[in-house]
This record gives sequence, structure tokens and C-alpha cells, in this order.
Amino acid sequence: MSDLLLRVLEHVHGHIGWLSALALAHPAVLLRRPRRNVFGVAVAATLLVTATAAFGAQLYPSYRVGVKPLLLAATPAVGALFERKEHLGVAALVLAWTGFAALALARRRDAAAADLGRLAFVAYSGAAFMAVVAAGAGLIVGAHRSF
Amino acid sequence: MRVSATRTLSVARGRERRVDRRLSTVAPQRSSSLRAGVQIGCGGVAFLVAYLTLQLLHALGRDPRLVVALAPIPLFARFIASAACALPTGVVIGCVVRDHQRWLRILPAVLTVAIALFVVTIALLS
Repeated sequence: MSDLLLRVLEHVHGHIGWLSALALAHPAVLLRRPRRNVFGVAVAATLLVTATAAFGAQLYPSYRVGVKPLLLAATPAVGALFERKEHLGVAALVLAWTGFAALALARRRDAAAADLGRLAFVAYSGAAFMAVVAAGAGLIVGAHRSF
Repeated sequence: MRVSATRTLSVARGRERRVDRRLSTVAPQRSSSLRAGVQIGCGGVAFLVAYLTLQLLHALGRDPRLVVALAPIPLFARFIASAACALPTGVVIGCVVRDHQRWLRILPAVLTVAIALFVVTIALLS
């Protein structure tokens, strides 16, 4: 990948990352009432976080070779923050899909709908929290060093 | 013709029975959503626990050989390994558990604990 493309992808990843962090908070807030139908919002949030993760996965091999060693050498604390951000991002992605699957099942409106709504609420709340922390950490890391 | 007619009848009766059960206030509610919900919730919890365990092993410098062989980049290898652990774990627990309703009721609390454990461990120990 060329440097220009990497830089563009990095910017897109950062912007979509913040967008998905906010988008994940939307179903989490709405699902305080577990029987509420928030499927459309959940689809959008889950797709956004998936797109963010896909961009991140595309960038990671080049970042790991080109930027991470320099970042760790210059500012070890920020390098460690980057590592933590990656783990939180992975967990946010998995929790978003867990919440989405629970919501998809809750659409059947049977006996389990309320419990599934509660499960989706916890999953989306966790995903939103982790995504916000990951996006904030990404901002700090990006301010220190990028492609 | 006869065979297909018999099948059609049995399918129709099966549907009727399901509708009767759903509308009944006496019959126990046994929906497939309950089992699938338990499988999804347990899968999510299992992923977090597996990822956390592999991360701690990585921090101690004791990566399992199987995980290392999965992908050249440790983050991706850990993700694939955790997903590979979580999927069958969720499916098996969902199939083995008898009282799905009870499990689905406690799963949000279990997932909350798993999330808290994950965040604290990643923040402090990774």
C-alpha cells in the first residue's frame, strides 16, 4: 500500500471510529426499555463498527512494522495505549455483534424478547464504552505519531 | 401423492400445536429463541474470557503454539483463536443447559461482569 493510501485509510478509520462509538451509544440508550424496537439503529451501529474494524485490520500490519516501533521508542506510554486500544476495539466489535444477534432474536416478540433485549442492552452498552475509550486512545496515539 | 398429503397434514398439525402452545397460558413456553439467546450470550462471554486468557498468556510470554500458528500477527491470531473457542462453547452450553429462561435472565449480569473484568485486566495488566 502506498503512503498516501495508508494516510487516507488512517483518517477514514479515525473518523468512522468516532462515528461508530457514538452510533453504538444510540441503541444502548434506547434499550433501557428492553422491548423497544431499535433494529434499524442497531444495524447501522453494528455495520459502522464492523467497517471501522475492517479498516483497522487493513492498516494494522503496515502500522505494526512502520509506526509502532517508533512510537514505542519515543513514547512507551502512548505505545502501550495503542495496544490497549486494539484490544478494546476487538471487544467492542464482538459485543456489538452479540447485541445485534440478541436483538435479531428479540424481533420474534415471544417470551424471550424482554430478556434478549436486556442482553442486547448490556452488550451495546459495553461496546459503546469500549469504542469511546478506543476512539479517545486512537486520537491521542494519532496526535503523537502516524503514517 | 399420498405421502406428500400426509406430510402436509403433519406439518399443518405441527404448526397448529405450536400456535396453541404460544397462545396457551398454561403450557410452558419453550421457544427456540431462548436457546439461541443463551448460545449468543454464552458465546459473547466465552469470547471475552478466552481473549483475556490468551492476552495474559501472551503478556507472560507463554503463547500457545496452536494460537501462534493461526496467524503471523498476534492480535489477529488471538482474535481467531478466541472466536474459535467462543462459537462451540456458546453452542454447546446452549444445547446442554435445561432451564434456558433462567440462564437468559442471569446472562446480562454475567456479561456485565465479563466486560468489567476485561476492561480492568486490559487497562492494568496487558
